Amino acid sequence: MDQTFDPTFNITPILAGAGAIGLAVGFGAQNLIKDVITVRVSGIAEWENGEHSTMNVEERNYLVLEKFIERYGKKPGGLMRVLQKAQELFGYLSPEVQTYVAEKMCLPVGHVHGVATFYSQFVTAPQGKYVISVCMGTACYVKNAPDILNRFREVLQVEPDETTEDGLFTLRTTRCVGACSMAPLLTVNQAVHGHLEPEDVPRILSRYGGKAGEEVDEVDQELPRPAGDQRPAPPPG
Amino acid sequence: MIRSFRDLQAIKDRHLPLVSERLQEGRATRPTQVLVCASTACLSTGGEQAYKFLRREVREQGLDVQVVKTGCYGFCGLGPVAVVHPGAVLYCRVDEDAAGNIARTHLRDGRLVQNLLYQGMDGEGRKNFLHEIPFFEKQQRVVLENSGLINPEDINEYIARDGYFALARVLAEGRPEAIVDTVHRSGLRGRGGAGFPTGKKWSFAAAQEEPEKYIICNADEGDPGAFMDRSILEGNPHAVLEGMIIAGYAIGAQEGYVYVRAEYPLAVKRLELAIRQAQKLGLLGKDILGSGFDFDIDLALGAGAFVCGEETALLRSAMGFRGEPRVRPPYPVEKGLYDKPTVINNVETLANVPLIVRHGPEWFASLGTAGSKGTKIFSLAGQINDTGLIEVPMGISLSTIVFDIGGGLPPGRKVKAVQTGGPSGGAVPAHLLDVPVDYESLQELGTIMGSGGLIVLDNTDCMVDIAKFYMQFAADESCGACTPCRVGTVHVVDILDRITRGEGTLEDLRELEELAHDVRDASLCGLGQTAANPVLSTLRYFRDEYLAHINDRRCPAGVCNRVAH
Repeated sequence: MDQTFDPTFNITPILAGAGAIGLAVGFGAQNLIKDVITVRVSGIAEWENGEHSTMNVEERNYLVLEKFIERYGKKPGGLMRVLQKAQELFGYLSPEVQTYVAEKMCLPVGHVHGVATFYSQFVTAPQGKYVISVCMGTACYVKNAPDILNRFREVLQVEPDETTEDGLFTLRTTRCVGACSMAPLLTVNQAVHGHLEPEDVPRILSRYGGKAGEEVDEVDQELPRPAGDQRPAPPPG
Repeated sequence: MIRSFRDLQAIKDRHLPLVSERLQEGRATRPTQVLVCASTACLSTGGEQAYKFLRREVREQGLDVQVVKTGCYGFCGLGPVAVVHPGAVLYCRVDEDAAGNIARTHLRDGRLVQNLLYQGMDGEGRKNFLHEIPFFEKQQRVVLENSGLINPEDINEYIARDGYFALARVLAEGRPEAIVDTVHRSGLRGRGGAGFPTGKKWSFAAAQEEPEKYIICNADEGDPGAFMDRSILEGNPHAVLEGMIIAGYAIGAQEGYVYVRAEYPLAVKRLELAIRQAQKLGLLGKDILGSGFDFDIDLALGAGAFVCGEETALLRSAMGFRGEPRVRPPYPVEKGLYDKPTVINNVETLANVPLIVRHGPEWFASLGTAGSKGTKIFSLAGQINDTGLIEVPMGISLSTIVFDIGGGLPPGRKVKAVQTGGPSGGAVPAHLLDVPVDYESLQELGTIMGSGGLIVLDNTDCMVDIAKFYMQFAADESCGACTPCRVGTVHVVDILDRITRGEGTLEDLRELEELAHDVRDASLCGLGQTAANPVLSTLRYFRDEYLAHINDRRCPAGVCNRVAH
């Protein structure tokens, strides 16, 4: 099976199916996944030569992750870096991705899951296209950051760590991005917005294509988003 | 590739003229360089666009001027900051429009752009030059001396400022024990918060027989409202690397890690770049400067857990585990990373090391007070006019920091307290602001030096609410490994919540105090042991505010009424 890479063999349904089973797949169906993944890995050279353009984004992401693990995954300390890369590629750490990392690094799935759920940076559910992180560090807090957070909750109708139904925004809180002179501030993906008032909330949302905007500002250039994000860009304004 | 002291000197000689030009202060002549602050705060308030705009403008107009990125000036509240050399003319709030103005008026026509110069809050005249601005006058920038002077992305500029000369010297001398002694005699104490003597820590690790040892730089700056380490890493990453290599040589380590927060992408990027540049020049890797000493540095990224600033939790995290602390002893100097002797030093501590080696322990010991030597970097935030990053000699008073350097509070506001040490520290009330800032004095006041976050609180801040904020933080960040911290912090938050809702009783107050002591005494690690400090400290100085909430059902600052409904 190793030697016969078949580009038409699509493993996505298998992995998607595994999603429903959740972590159980880590124990029950390991061999199946292993076989599937071995097939795909043996195709790296062909893929790099552009011979298998039929490979979808998810398959490509797994290949990139595989290479990353080969480079950084040797020491046990490499797990954090690998999970960060995995999250960058897939947008979040699904049970399948956690299982894959565990397999490749010869670690128990429970260990990987334990780490993935310990750190606030790691997320185990899909995130919105734009992640709004309202800073709740001390400097922002004393400059009325809670009012700003409450305004987002009202307008978006979500609580922190939830995503809007259209998948556009995830609301989060963060502990200090170290730019306290701009307090109160928030980040939308990588971009920092500072010196905010609650009244600025609709304007910020509209900049990123949210419907909640009362006024339409000029639309910012497209921000970097996770490589696995295949959703179409939102309509401007 | 640098193989000898002479090679290093050659690089310095080549790049010194460029850097020297930036040291000529006070007389503006034909501009040759513009330095644009490229720290997170300035870049994200428009500095990025200003930098690109200036570069384009200079190119298009064919001006003989270099546009250079540099580290934090500390003047973050008025950023983005740009400084024109020679003469160090400082411009504030340099956005794209302002950049165009500077390019045309100053760089091309040689006239100062008056409306972009610094002007104090009291409306006094505009200041042309960096050194005339009160914010900088009472500072003593030693660790930050190159921040705002050199390009942090160019190792040559660091070398031009005597960078890596301390390393070259200790390697040439070949006496690791002499370095430990030098650091010991300087009186340097850990800048991460606890203030443990650095020389002592190194001597413990050096004494271990184990051949494999590690140096870890703790750059997991978790105190919300503090950004000293971020600024050092963004402004002068090579100083930290040089400190680590010297530390490695002193204790006999071969490998170092910088454990840095992933929330600081720019610091991570600059560190990666700095490591690559140092490797390329042979300042990291095998047989450094022909001395036979091997040392390399890699990054370990944190992922958002306050507890990982605690050294045993950091170690577990760096090894790819959940960041849960363990009991000490054994201390990391005996059993650290992969159970090998490990020295864990804070960013600022390590950045001091090359300076101590270069200028001598006596020089360092001449700064500061009897028990607290050297300078300290603070990040100034909260209710203050000039938020930013400052470096002052130990022993300076908080009132000097707040009023002379920080420019005081906005009109109509009155300082109530200054929080030092973040969630592990306490509030120093207004009437005690003249106390000198050193490890001992702050401890007597019931707070700690901490890593350097200073949050100014005023009459619009409720101290009970602030205590609740910090306790909520501790409860959220508690890793759950020990019960007093996991459960205790949540109970303390519950009580504080009752009080702020106007439902507290005097019995609650008694219980709060008792519980706070329990959490402090029984917790496993520093997070739990210090978590209740903000409560104990506000109870000590602001008990009347607690009583107003309980007896009168009223929040004197008017904060909790807002939260209540």
